[in-house]
Amino acid sequence: MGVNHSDQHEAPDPHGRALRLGVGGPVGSGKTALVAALCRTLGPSLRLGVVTNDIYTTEDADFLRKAGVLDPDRIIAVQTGCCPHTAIRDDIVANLDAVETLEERFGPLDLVIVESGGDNLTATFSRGLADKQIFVLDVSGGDKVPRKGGPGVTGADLLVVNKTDLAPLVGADLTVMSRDAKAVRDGKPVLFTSLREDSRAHAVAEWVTSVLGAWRSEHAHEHPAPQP
Amino acid sequence: MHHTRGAADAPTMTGMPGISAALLLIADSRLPAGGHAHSGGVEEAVHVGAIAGPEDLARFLRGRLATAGLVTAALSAAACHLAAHLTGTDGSSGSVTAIGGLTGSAGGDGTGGLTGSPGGDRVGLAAGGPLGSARGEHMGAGGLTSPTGSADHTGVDPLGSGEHMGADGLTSPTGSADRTGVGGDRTHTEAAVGPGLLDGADRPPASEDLWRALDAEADARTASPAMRVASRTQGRLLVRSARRIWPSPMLDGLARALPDGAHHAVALGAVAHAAGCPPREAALAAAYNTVTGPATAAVRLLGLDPVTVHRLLAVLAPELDGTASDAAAALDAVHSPGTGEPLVVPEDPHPREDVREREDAPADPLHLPGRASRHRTTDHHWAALPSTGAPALDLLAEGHLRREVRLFVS
Repeated sequence: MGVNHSDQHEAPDPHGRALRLGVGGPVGSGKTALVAALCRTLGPSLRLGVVTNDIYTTEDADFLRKAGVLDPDRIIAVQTGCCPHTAIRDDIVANLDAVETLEERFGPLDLVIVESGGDNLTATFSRGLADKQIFVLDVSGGDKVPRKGGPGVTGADLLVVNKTDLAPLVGADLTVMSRDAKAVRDGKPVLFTSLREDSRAHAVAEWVTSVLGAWRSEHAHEHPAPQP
Repeated sequence: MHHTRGAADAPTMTGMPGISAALLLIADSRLPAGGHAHSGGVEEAVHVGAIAGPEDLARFLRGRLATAGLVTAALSAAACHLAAHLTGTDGSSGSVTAIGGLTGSAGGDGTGGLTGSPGGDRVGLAAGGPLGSARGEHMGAGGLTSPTGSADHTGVDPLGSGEHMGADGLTSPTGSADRTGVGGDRTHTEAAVGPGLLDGADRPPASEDLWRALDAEADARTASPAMRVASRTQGRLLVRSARRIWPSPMLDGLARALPDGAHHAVALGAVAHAAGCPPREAALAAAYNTVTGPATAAVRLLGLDPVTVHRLLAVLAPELDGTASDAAAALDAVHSPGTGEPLVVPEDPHPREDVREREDAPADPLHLPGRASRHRTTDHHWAALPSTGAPALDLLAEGHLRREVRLFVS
């Protein structure tokens, strides 16, 4: 199926499409583990799709497929030509194409998660691609990272600080991270997780559910969104 | 509408070598159309050792421009010209010879060609004699630098032999137009060009047939299934963005005609017209894309000095201009009187409001009631566009698809 077909399937909500949730963050911070956790927790109640942006071929997609958290066909891998941030920020069409392909094949969907390839602190999702975005840090990157800021840390709708179980081992002060994050994020939420200990990421899943509910009612009075 | 340039102020139908902001916009790598993720064979060439430094890259780029560059430039020019024709902005006098066209190719034999995944059967490709020799050369990029005789069938109707590259089914326009996932459209295409169906009321507009026919020419010039998929992906993403940047019923029609994506060259030509460029500028943008994407990929993959690489591009500038001129000249030649039988396409029972962008558009020269019965016997003018093949590029694309680790889509 091509993506230029007009969208005729039954609309799941006033937007006429699924909520698009970006998950970004540095290499190794736990983005893929978080996506897997969200699929585990939300899969039973929501119709999901996942787009991965691997730095190398389809590693993240393969990881998710093997994790068995989602029908493998509902996971699409997009290659980014050495520039993961370009694919989520500057030239987003390959990702949009993948999102809509999922919606056409399996739609209507409730939520499509777009996982960025691991990148640096300046990476952020275009609003043309993601309605909401999560930025994932981990404590082993150093407890100064939140203070350094950057568009992902300061602007993401949710900041997740993962691997809290490693904090004592790497000398990271979670209090400092929490305080700094709050300071640079202007009141937007921050959640601390240890996906190793909570493989279902309950707190994050709860946030996603509430965001989805709010997003659906937010534009309930507007006309259905056209193709982006 | 917004088509203020083009043939109207140019002495030839393909336009003067011009400078326009529209050209800059469509050629800009920042145009969000997915091109940044394609290396044009460079990733695989680096992997096999064919490109290790600036000198290798220079040879690769020159070879790519002389082969794929010329082919895509000519196809883009043809697509731009077709777009102008369909929108009534080409200033044509209505001559039916002014447009290449519709034959049975797109709806012909549906048994050959690319019907499976990109990783499908490529036995024919590997076994072909001409390709075999190219394979032996491509490590040193020697095969890249000359349009090989085996693949070069310029001026010869590729429909004639059906085996012009020794890769049965892979390169024939008949098979190539047959792709999994567009079955419904194939049916429409066959219905549109098949005998005895001219009275059918449910035929698609002729404009869509023309887009498919031109796209089939691009298919015929793209031997590698992997490259076909990559090209269509790029074309689909380009049209997708362009429909929002330069909204146009013409682009909508192209998207309808080829929902899985037109080949990139065809898409680029159509988008060039939507942006306001004449065919020669479409050709120049295509030629430019042919070398700039791979050059950037080499910078990323090998850490080459970007200034050195840009110098390589600067040295190629006259050849880019030359390629665009050659492509435009080829299109002019195709459309010159005496190059074939006048083209006739079936009467379109539906008014083509979708391709009319101006109330005062001239009468549709394709609309020739009473002559429709000749449509299957007419010559295929676009078949005479350049078809300088580059088997090494085809093989690189196939090799790339088999790599476990890929940074680029192609």
